[in-house]
Amino acid sequence: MFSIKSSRGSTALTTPLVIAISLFFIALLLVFCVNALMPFIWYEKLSSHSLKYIFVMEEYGYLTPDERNNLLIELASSGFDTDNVTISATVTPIEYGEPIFLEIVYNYDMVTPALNEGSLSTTEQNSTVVMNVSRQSISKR
Amino acid sequence: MINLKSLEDSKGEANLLLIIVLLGFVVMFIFLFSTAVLVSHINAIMYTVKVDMFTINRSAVIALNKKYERGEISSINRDAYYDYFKKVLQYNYKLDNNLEAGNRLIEKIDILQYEYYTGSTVDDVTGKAIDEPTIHAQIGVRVKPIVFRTTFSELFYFRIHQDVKVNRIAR
Repeated sequence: MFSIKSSRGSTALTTPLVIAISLFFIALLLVFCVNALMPFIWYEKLSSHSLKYIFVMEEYGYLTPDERNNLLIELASSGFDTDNVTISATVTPIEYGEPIFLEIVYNYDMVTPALNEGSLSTTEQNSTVVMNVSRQSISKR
Repeated sequence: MINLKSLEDSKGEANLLLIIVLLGFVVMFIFLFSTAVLVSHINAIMYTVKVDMFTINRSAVIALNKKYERGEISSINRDAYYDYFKKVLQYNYKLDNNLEAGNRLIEKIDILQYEYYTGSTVDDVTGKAIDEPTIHAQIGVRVKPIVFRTTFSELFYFRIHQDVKVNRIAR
């Protein structure tokens, strides 16, 4: 005779345990990877927008109110929270060959889950990453 | 006679092994996917730096030409272009006099080459002939690694080259 109960019992217990622990670590890894990547992704988006609008500014000699609104609309459509965006730029028309500038500051709220002490529940830890993209060029007006 | 107990044991272990291997693949996939996304976005950032280099050098040409025409400077030479390039680079990337930005994503920039070629020469980066006035610039950009900063510091160092033909800048 054989006893199937003991052998099946050990794997029946270990397999879900291994899966649960592994999934937990995979979830942690995913969160870590996303948190590590997000600043690069937002910075790249911000950098591209600033580059586009410094070219626009070169043509007008400053950041016109309409273009400022367009910039905010484009940032919002790219996923930026415009409440956290600050735009500083040359606001009066500048003559040909004179310097113009554009600075976009974005306060990115990074939310990181953290384990509570002595339990398996998690809380969210908020930290703000300040992203600052500056561009200087000259007016071609 | 077949030992059913050992058969059940080995079947259970095989299942467990299979699950571990599958999870290993999932972890590997996450790492590879994250790396691919990271590389793609760093490339995009480096491309904006390259376009920025072009913009700065073009601005330098226009600004210095204007100063020259107004008599504010007596000549336009390599040092005048270099000073303008360095000044705007410092402004755009919030760099100090050593071209370091401390705890920022682009943490350091080295100006590896900055030349103003007026005669015929050969570009030592591309190997192509240069036969018109050209500003030749090559910079090294150090991006802050998120993890394993010491190990990855060399991997996150990028060289960017940009030539600007001075006579082709619109006036």
